[in-house]
Amino acid sequence: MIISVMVTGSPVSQQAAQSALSFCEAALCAGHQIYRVFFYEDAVYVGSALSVSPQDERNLNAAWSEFVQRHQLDAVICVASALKRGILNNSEATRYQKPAANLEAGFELSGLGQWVDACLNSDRVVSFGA
Amino acid sequence: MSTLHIVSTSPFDSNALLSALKTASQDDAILLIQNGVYAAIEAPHMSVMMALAPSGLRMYALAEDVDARALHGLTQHITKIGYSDFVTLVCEHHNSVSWN
Repeated sequence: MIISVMVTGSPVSQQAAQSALSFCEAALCAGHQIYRVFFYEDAVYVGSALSVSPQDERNLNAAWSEFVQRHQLDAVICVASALKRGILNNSEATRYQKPAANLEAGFELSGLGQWVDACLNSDRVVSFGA
Repeated sequence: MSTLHIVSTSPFDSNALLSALKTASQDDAILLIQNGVYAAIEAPHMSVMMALAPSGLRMYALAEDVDARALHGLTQHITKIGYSDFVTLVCEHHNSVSWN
């Protein structure tokens, strides 16, 4: 089946991004296709290349980045949520005259329309919040 | 049209499970994940809440999250499942609703 996943919970204070990653891994293992993963609201922090985890904790951002690149997944960070939280790619940093860009490799910034497109083109959609 | 209700918050913190139980129909299933798995423990007031479920409603709890919280003595009518079964449940139902 074609599956899309929405993540809304913060990777630093909630379990959503962890649950979503485990779900996506299991879905690919079972032979399903992931059409898109959409990070919304506080979940956009997953796309920050500047977060540092303690040595004895899993770095969820790095795990997601590695996962989406290894499987060539379409991983979209909501641009409106991201800009508010200081997650910028090069073009947004230039546009808003910010000193740096910090979008993690494997992710792209785009709008909520990408989630509508995912819903239209997927057999199943699953949302991970809280 | 069957629905998988995914409940991710504890019944001691939110009304998510209550809402799911009131909304669910016979063909649906409820999956407890994250702090939602606290609803799987044997407790008197939990059985009062579970009585709201339509008869035949299937209930599951994600094993990884149950074990991470060291919960024992789960109620009999809740089945522990892994992430691969989670994926299967999503595919078996037409829709999924996440109650946070």
